Amino acid sequence: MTATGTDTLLAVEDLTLELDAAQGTAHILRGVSMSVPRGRTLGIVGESGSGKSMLLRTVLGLTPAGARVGGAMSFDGEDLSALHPEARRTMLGRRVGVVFQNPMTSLNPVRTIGAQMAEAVRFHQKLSKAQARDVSVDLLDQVGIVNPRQRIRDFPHQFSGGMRQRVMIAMALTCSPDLLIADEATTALDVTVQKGILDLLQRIQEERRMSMILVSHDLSVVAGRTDDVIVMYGGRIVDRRATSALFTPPVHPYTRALMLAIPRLDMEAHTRLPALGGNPPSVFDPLLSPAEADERDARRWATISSDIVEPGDVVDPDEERIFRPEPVVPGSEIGAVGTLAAEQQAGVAEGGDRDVAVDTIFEDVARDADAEEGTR
Amino acid sequence: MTQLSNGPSPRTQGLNAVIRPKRFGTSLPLIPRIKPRRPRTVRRGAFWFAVAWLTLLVLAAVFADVIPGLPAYDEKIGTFAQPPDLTVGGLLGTDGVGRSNLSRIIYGARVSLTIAIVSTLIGLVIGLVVGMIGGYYRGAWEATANIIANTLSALPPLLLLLALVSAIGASLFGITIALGVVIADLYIRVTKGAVIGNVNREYVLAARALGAGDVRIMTREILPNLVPVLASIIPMAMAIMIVVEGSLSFLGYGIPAPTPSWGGMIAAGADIMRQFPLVIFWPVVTLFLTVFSFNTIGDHLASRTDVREAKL
Amino acid sequence: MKATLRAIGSRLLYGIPVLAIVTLGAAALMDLMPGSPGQAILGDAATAEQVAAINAQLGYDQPFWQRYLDWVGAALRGDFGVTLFTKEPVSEVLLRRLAVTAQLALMALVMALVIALPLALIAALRPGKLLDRVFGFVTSALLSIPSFVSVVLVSLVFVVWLRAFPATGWVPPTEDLAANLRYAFLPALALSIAEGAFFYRVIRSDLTGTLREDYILVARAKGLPRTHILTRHALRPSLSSLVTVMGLSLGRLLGGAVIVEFFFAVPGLGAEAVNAVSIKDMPMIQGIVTVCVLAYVLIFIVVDLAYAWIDPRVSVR
Repeated sequence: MTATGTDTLLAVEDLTLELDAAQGTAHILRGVSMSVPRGRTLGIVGESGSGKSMLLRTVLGLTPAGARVGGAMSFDGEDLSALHPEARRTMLGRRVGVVFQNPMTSLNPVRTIGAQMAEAVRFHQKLSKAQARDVSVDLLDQVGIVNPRQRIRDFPHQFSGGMRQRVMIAMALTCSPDLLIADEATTALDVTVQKGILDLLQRIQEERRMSMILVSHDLSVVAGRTDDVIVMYGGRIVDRRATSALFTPPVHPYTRALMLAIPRLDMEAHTRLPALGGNPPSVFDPLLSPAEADERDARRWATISSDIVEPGDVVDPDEERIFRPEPVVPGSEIGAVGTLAAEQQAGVAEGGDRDVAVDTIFEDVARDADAEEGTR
Repeated sequence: MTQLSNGPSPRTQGLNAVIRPKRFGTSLPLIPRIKPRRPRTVRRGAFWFAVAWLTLLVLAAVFADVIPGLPAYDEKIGTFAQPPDLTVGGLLGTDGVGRSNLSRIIYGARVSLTIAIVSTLIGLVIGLVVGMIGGYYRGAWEATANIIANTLSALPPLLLLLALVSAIGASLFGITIALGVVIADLYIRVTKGAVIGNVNREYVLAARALGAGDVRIMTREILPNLVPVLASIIPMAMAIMIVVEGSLSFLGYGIPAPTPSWGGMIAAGADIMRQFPLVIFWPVVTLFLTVFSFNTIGDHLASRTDVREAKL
Repeated sequence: MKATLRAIGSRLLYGIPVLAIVTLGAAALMDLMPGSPGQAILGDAATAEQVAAINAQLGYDQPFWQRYLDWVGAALRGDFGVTLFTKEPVSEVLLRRLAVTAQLALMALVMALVIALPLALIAALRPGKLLDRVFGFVTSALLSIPSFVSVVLVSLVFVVWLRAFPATGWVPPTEDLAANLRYAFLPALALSIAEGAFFYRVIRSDLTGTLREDYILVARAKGLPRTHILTRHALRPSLSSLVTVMGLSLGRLLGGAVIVEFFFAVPGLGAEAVNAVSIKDMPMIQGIVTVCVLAYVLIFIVVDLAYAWIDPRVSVR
């Protein structure tokens, strides 16, 4: 992930974000470092509140008033951290396109979509009204809106949710950006519509050879459509690897928890998915070094009920044990807690460095698991 | 721990490892509510100042007769437009005729506060009855309530007031009734809106299922839920009443002399404003502080009872 | 288009029962008041017969319903009668006076808007900061100033101290525009103080609400400048509450500029109303009342149409 030179489009180093609140200081980002190479797609995964949206907002200069940003950011070699948020927005507005989560509220209801699509390109590239309109019509066509020349005079409420998201995508592309960010772009849409949007994004990225960042809390959205993946938790990055290596053991315990939460088609109805106990760390917790944070979080990650309870299983109410009719084949696809200990030293995933702290976790988790099970 | 009778050893169970019982509560991630740090000292200060001022005013008005050294409001204590001195009567100077400003303001407070409170009550009663019936029964009753409210508001209020006061007489009674009728429009609208919002809620349906009659539902169930809305409107309405009463006095339709009223004092002072601009100072300040206090209290209550402060 | 016309028509129709009730109520009220036109015209020294004679002449001896229905009949034909005192046709007096009051009202609205809108925009840019709080406090205070106090204060500052404007009086704009504006300035200013404070608060609170919407975030992400976002994105949705408030203000000003007109001796509708009530000039009163109700209905039709234009999701019912 540490690409060098002009190969890197966006680079962030030790980024911190703080906000003063009534309850104390909220540390929303706690030393995040990552980079996006040109032409590659990055997936950012994490639960709500993990900081993934705020990471992008900080880069784009969309942080709330009074937020304090630390660390370094650069875009295409130019240093962003010295710039005031407003200057960052102006600079990046042309080179980064953003598609936000909620298509129903992302468009101004009292203005035509034509006006909204045209304003960015007219401001940044000084196009005339007619030129901007042609650009907009062409893009609407590319994203699959029929009759773009008529539709451009319509208002947002005349479009469905999926179509509105397509309009948002077209809007993000008007200035031919180098980077496209889709922040939970499909979360508010039906699953069938989701696929259409994600396919569209992928196609556009390939055609234009843009870089892309896909943000989601849903691992399945990111898998298969990105080159690299970052997993965020509690305001920091806990796992990063190439997407193809996502399922290669050793799997990070939190990533594993995310995977286990994905329902699979071969499960029966009413299957209860495993979940983490407890709560994610609060933004008001004091800053910890990565090692300390890993230690604290590992305890929570280890609480995952690693079993998927399917109907027909018998559960012992005293201890919530499951008695399965037949034993599970060991060494199955998703790395088991037991096998982690054996494989933790083996297999450095593709994609280069991983933090030392991450390795330490695997040791701890495996050791804990052994200890607990050994006492039975 | 009981040992599994026929389960494979934990190490090779893979996904079948023992489930730990849940120790914590929900596993849903809680997104912390980050409340921005907003200094509320100014707002709070204004609110308590308003309360203090009104308390002072009420006390002064109630106990006016026993304040030591306070001259009667129609008693000449010196020449006209004297500057303030250190006697109790002359604390705020004298008005255009030589009477004590302080005394006239305090007795004027009696008039203003009485009118404000009583007329608000009258308006409240009318508004509650009409609004409740209109909102609860809907249909023709609501249309009637609408027409009443619209008629009251279509007329220029001052015109209506002048007419009413002329008809009933410019006495405390007449003015109070007139003001009450005019402000009833506001209460009708607010009550009707709130009742309509409440009438389909579950607690009303539950009460009806239990066999409660309409009147009982209206008084015991819906009415208490109107209190927050009304609590913020009432102080503002009182402020309006004080202003309107002042306007009436200013125009000459208020309480007849020599009973002092703030509006009358301002009108009289305006006449001699060129030579003695300070004569109107005290009644203006008192009036302003009183109205401001009512408005502040109303604002404060409104922001407490309403989640989004966006409403006015 | 047809839907619009139908909507206008239905609202006008709705105004008719209100008009009927209001005029009936006004007539009844006047009857309740002590005294009669004859008494008002002739004064206290007149004998009972003289008063009765005048009353008969004016048709005042007829029963209440008769008088009312006569009036309604004449009014439907456009004849509002003549004023009791000067025998001028009521409709002429009404138009003349309405023009004056309307001029004051419009001037006050414009002044209020011109001050409130930019200040609200500035405050909405920095919510919670010092400027916003100061403005909020000041407008709160201004709202607590009754109109009779503001006329006195305005007069004190501009007439007594600055000596820049005349104390009272009026010159119609057709005669001398410059003089007319000089006479109109102070009354309009006095009126605009409270309205301006009110506009400011409404616009600001609506703007801060709108600025929290997602599409504003999208606009910021596009890198558009702040002023552009404010004026092109945030202002338009906030306009509907502004339009409502302006409509209410206009209605209020048209009927309620009584104090200001009284104090500055402006020959407007409000001053005429005070006069008419004091001498029980029935035709005049009914005329004024009719004008007020009609204005109210018309203003709300315009407001509703404006809503539909501002927000394309709203269709005229």
